[in-house]
Amino acid sequence: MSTVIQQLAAAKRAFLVAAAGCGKTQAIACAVAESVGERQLILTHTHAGVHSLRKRLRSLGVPRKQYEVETIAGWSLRLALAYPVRSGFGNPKPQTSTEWTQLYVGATQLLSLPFMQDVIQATYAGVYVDEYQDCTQTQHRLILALAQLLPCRVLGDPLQGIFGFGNDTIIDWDADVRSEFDALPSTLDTPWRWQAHNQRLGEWLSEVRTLIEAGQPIDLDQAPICWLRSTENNQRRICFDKIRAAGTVIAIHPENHHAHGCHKLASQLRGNYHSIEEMEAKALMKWARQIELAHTNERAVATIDFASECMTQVSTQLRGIKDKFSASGTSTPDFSRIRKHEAIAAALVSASRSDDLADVVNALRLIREIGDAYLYRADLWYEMLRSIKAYLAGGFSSLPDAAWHVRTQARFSGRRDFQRIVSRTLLVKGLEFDHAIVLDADNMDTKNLYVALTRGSKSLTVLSQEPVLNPWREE
Amino acid sequence: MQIRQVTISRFRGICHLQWKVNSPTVCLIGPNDSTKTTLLDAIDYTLSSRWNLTFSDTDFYQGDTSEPIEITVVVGQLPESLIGLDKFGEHLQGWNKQSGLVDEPGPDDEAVLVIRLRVTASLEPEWMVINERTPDGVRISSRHRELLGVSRIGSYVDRELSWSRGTSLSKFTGDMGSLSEILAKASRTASQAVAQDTLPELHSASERIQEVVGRLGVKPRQEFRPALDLHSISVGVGGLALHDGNIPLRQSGLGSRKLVVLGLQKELTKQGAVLLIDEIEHGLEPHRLRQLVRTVRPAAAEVGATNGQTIFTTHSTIPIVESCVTDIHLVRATDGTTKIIQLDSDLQSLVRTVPEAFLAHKLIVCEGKTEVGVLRALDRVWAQNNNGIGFAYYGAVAVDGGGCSKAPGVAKKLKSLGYDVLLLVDSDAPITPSKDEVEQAGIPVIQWAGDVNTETRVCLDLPLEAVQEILDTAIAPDNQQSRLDTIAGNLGLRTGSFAEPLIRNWISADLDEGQLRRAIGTSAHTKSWFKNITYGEALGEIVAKQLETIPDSDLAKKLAALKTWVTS
Repeated sequence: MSTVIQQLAAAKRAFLVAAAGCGKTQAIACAVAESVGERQLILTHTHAGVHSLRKRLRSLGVPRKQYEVETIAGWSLRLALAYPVRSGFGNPKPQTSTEWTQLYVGATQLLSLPFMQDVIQATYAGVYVDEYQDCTQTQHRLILALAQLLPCRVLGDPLQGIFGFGNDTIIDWDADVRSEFDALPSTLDTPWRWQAHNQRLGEWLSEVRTLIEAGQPIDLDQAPICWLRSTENNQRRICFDKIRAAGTVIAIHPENHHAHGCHKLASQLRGNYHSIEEMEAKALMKWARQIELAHTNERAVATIDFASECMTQVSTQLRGIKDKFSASGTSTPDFSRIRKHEAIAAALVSASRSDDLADVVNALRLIREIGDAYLYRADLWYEMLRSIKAYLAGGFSSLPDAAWHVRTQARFSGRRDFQRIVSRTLLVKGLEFDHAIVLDADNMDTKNLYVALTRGSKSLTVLSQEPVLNPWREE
Repeated sequence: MQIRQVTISRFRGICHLQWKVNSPTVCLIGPNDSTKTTLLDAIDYTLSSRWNLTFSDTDFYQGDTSEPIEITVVVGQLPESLIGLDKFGEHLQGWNKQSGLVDEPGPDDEAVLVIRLRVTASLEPEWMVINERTPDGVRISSRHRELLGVSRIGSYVDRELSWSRGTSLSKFTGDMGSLSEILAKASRTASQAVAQDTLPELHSASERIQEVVGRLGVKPRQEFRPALDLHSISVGVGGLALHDGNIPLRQSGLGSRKLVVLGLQKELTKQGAVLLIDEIEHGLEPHRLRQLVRTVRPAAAEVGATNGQTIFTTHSTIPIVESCVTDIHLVRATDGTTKIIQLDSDLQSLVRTVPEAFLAHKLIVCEGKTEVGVLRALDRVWAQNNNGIGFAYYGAVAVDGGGCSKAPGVAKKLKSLGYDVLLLVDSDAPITPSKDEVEQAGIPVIQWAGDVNTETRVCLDLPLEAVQEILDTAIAPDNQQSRLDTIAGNLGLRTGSFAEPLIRNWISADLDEGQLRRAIGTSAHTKSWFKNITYGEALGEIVAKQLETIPDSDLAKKLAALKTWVTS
């Protein structure tokens, strides 16, 4: 490993491919530690990535002055907003992918100005970019502009390059990275993550990687994992079984572009697993807008609808109340004869009569207490409560504004640690769990499959129709 | 670092000033009370690392504290240590050579920091880096201001000759490593040396004290003895000073001390320091001053490359002569508004030939050297008869305008620089710009009556004996015949008509005195007999002696008018 670190620290313009769990974070932190008396800029994509890099640097005792760890988004935003005229970007809260794309173009434009080049060179002695496979084309051009000014090392794994839809296409490792950067002579290939817990699994995953790269089938039956033929309803059973296992569990749903399947499964798992939100938090923003814009009875309806999104049982148990609100136009519905959930109905009436969002919080609290109802989108639920509180505390122009702020804070503080999660590969790549369950492995492409298989460090359970997988390659 | 612009509001005598600084060396000249020193103080206070400045109500313009003092300095050529994103990298502005300050630097703009010192009625100074994006500004600490490298050299330079923190000497030395450790050790050694050598008297006194206090119940832990208190003798870096042999340099003459400090500073300006020097000539002999100014100025080749800047004031002509004309800046203060005017290269020859003109208030722009000489002689005679009070007393200087085609232009230019100007020209040829135009610019014009040049006017107006004297002055044995032939030629006579230089003998029925006077004047003019300041002065001596005898002459009247203008 020490050779790689030295090569990395000395490289002027290089890339390093690192398989999952092979010590990429460690390598970056050690290389930064080598450059005594200089300041390195370390960029990555997610706040989780920022956290794990910072944590590693701190644990190695690297002086704080020697590094700056940021997301590409955060760093670009800070730079662009410092000079909005020259970057052509003055929006402090970019949301859509078009806006983010504009941000990277703006920051790149700024880096072409001589004064900014001086500033960058006066600030940093070099740059590292982690998870490079996730770079969009515009982010890639930004990094190339930085590479004109500073020694630049990019690290990543083309096999983990999965992404959502957006206007901005993701880089192609062969076409974009290999043509612009030199391969570092040494590589990282020891599967450190499994060394202490399940060495055989680690070794097997290295073989899987080779097989995937060679386009060969993967035999699960002979593997040091738990393979099960997937049937109509054993997905749920397997997940329930794993509740007893010590440690964290990730159940990976094959659906990659929509959250619906994950939410549905989480609701069926009765709150034992949480379905987490994507970073852009579209649902939070949508519901913040909806609740704020709804008035009188519509607000009560919106509150019930929001709760139904996050919890089981709510839509059935509160159907009667919701229908009354919907049918009453602008007049207050009469709940005098109601026999169940009277307190909730009363709280919703208060929420519909006043414009005070505190009444919505009140109603949500009471709804949360409905027996037999399980919260399965805790991320969304708690962030909504926090957003409303932040809005009530003042300082925000609207509820979505407060929600954006809460979301940004969450980005910085990292994901909430749920013990068990149902999610898609897109949302959990880069995250590490004790146990992984891959549901329906037949329908995954090579990259999604590789990411899914490498999430658990202690055990891996895979469900598929056949014991031999032939993942399709994305063209 | 280099200063690009200075803006001052309500600081001492300056209610308003905005100055774009265009050169790495600036020589500020101007009459007393033109706020030169205030300007240096303003820059110094804003950029220096001093944090313990004390302000009082009298630092406010006219003592009015209702509005704050604001001094804003735009600095370019920034040190790398200040432009990092963790320092002021997000707060830069741009400096455009044509349009000045732009909020965000463009491709052709230099990155600058705009530093504002503001003092409100609370008298608390506040240093901020400002731009339009962060209107409230970002505080800049004294530690960061120190990185700008600004030094003020006044007459008190002694501290600069020690290795105290922030002095030129310590900056020049750079990293001083474990110096304080060595110094602490030196203090301890000194203390021990005293302990070993102490006088017996001190020892016996200590013993007696121990006895006395013992009776009061005070028991020493060991024993009372005399020793040097480390606290009182502790040697700080400030105690470490440059010595010449055994003598500290602070004991040498002011000039030498100043030169040593400036020598150090000059080296620092190469690395980007800014030097502010008040009265650069103070304490220096002319030759040392000349050498100093030459040293302070970057060589032509260095001008573009240098990172530093030197701004000095002077009341001496030597720095003016030694400076490049565009380095010279006039400071003019009227009703609280101070203007800084940079000289342009048209004035280079004037700067070299009459540097004192730029230190004067009133300038008499003469058509040529003859007139300058004449006026100098007149001034000498006036002063002799008037207890020494002459042009100098009134701050007036006669200046060679360089001929009838140039002098009016020079006069206008000097007028535009804020000087009182009078134009003295021949009247034998029309001037450009025209007399009207010059007068419209507020410049009185003195021209002789009768469309004649100065030499002719003199010859027409002086008594004949004086004209004879002029002729005598003009001729010498080797040129006598040719000059007499010139006169003859001007009268239409053949060469050799005059053999002896005796005017009276030339007058005849065919040749009247008037014709003769005119011919002599014309000859003197066309053959340039007096076109050099020394000969002009000789001519002036003759005129001065005779003026009282010809009070009604045009010459006397015009010269009297000139004198009135000078003394007004």
